[in-house]
Amino acid sequence: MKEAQKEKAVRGLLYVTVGLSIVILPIIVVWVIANGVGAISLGFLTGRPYRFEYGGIFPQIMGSIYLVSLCTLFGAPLGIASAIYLSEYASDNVVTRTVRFFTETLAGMPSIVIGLFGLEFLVYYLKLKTSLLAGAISLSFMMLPWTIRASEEAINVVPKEYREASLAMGATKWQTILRVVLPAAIPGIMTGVLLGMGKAIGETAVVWLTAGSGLEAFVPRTLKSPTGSLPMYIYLIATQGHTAEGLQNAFGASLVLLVMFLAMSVSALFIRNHYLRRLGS
Amino acid sequence: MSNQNQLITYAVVALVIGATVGYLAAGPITYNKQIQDLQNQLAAGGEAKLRGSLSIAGSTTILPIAQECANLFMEQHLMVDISVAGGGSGAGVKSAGSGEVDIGEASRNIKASELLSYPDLVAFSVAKDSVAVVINSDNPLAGDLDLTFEQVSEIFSGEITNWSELGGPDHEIEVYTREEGSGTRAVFVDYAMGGKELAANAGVKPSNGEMRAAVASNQYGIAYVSFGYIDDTVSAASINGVEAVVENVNNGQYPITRILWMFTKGMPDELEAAFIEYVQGPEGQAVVEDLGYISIY
Amino acid sequence: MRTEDIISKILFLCASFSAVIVFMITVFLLQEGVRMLNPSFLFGKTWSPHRELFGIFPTLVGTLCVVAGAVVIATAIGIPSAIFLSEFSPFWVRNIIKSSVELIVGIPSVVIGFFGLTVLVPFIRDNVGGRGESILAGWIVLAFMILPNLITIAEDSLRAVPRSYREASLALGATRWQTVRNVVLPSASSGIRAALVLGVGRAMGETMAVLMVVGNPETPWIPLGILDRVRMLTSTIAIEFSYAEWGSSHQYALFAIGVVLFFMVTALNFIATFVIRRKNIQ
Repeated sequence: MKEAQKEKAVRGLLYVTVGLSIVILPIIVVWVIANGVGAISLGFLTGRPYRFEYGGIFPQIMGSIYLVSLCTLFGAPLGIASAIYLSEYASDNVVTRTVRFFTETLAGMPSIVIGLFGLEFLVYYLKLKTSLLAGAISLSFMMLPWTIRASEEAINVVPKEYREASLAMGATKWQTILRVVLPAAIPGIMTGVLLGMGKAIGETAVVWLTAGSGLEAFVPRTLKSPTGSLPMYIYLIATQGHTAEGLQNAFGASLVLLVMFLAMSVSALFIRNHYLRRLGS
Repeated sequence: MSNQNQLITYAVVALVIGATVGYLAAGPITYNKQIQDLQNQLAAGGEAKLRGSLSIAGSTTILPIAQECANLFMEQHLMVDISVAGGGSGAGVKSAGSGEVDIGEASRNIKASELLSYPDLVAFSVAKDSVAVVINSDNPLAGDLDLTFEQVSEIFSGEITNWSELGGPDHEIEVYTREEGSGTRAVFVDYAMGGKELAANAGVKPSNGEMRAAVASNQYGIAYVSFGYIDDTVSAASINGVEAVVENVNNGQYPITRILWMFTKGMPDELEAAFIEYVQGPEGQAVVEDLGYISIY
Repeated sequence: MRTEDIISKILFLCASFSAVIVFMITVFLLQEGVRMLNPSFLFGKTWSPHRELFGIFPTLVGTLCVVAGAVVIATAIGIPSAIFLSEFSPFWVRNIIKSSVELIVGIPSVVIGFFGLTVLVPFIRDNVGGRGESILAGWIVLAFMILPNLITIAEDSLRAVPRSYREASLALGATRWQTVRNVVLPSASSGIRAALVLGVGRAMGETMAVLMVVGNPETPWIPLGILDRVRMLTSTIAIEFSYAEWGSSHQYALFAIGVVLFFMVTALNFIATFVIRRKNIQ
């Protein structure tokens, strides 16, 4: 009897906390959508900012797209190659364990520290100035460990028999990886890359120190152009804007950023679930 | 069933891709329309002599001037991109001196230590300005707050802590200050603080915009901002009975005045010189006055 | 065979790249920051660069207060939610909730900060007291940031416990909750602990969202209540780095803060990946 009461109490408690999570977690998303929809107009999406908090955010949207694309261009191939090495070639020795530990460390590195490093090394030392290139490279440092981790997992899931069959037919190791392992692992890798891109597009501290002011009224023309980005724009307008239009623009920009972020994580999860279902059947 | 699901999936994906491509295509068309117009103009008569990109950073006092001038300048020179950032005067001197940006800005004079670190800075005055103490416009004292420098220093150093001591409501005075690199802070401390330290519990806001936003949203807040940031969301206090308006700075009655500077590392190159001349010229100075600052002439 | 060798060399180079980056970050930080790392830096009570006083103790304490509170809140909500999802909820409910939680893992922190600034801070100012910008606001904002990840990882490690364990316990006449408490939780505890440690690391390294809500006083003090304003280690770097002169002790002090952050987060990572997970494998 006592146990039954306890069971009931615990269940009640669990219902309360899960209810709390269900209410709390979507609050921000709902809040942004509710306030942001009114700010979205063609002029807002295609105009450029002026007088600080007025105007549109076209350069910021394009800047974010450029930054993330370029960052993926650097980060994804490198991450996938590292994952292939770690899971297919490396034996478990001091070197690989060190590499793995450093990868984990990079994953947990505070973004402001990565930003500082980008500023010191890329902006000052390599004289890239605050630019698209410096921002994208710094972002790729941040994205790299996530890509490595996800790709490694995806590659490890590919059944051993696939490899053995290919090797038995006389294919070399590299041919096996290229023709058998990678195609089977691609959905998992894409999930990882997309999640990494979602992280990169929302990152503020890194682009603050390396990419540009956030208020640029132009789309970058070269790799060395300073580049505005949505998170920086939101940060500036949210903290310094003081008019109704400024607040509305901050909501609008947040909504656009959120939609871009959710598009990435939805497609990542979609690919993952689709792929898992296929493997399961 | 799975076929139907697949069909829906494909339809959704196609829709999303279509919308994205549509936007990416529509954006430049609208965005570039004015540029297109100007390009046609130029093709008819002028030539695009200036090209390249320019980055400007520093004083948030000068930020609105630089941003507005940059937008106007970019409309006239189509092959020029100008990026304007804040950061504060200290950041302006540092980033221009270290070559991180092309033009730095400061709303105070260069310090001796900075000249030692960055000896090859060249300075150009672009406007004049002053600093005002501001409070929330819903504060009962708004509109008729009149302070002496003595009182200002006591408020900002934490000796006067309650609005009732100034004849206002019985509530704590919530002091905001700029970060140490700020030119506005340096000028304010020079003129008003009389050697006192700023209160330890003052909230640090790293830009004029955040100072204004903090006071505009906090009924019991007090802060100091550039004249260019005074608008109807905040109320400026009089100093020694003199109202904080541009005329009183011009006729010498309002006690604080300062020059706003732009810097280049070494002599400016063609593009930098063109932009600084633009700001100093009639169009730039019109922007300066329009935004509530004081022309250098 | 030669091409195979070359390919494996190239792949090895790629794999070492992130190790090289971490190594370079460490070198860069240490090179600039190590000269400031002394007792008067770590335990000094006053941070006031224009007086050449660089003591991070109040900042350090403030950071730990905010992080600890946020992790406690996130744990109190997240772990029971995870238990509910994996042990007590119907499959379809779990699927819906779990995938929506996963969707918002890594939601842009600046958006959470914007929410904190425009909703939480005024709310606290009007209903709880103080200026609104406070440790409390920092707790809530940070808890928001780590909660989705915590739920996801904790739920995964609960579900990784083999079904047979549960069945055995239930067959012995234990109730659902007894089974969870005595069988499932102990088996999953190392995974959950790893999730918590990673959450602490993430909270400590977070910059933008907290910067917008904790108030950043001119000279930080050791906080005495949850409505006190604090500075975080990260926000000190973010606010001051732009104007710290080259080669000044101010700049070195900021790098030294970077070193402190780096070592704390790396130590947490080390604990999470090596100590806890190794135990798990055994």
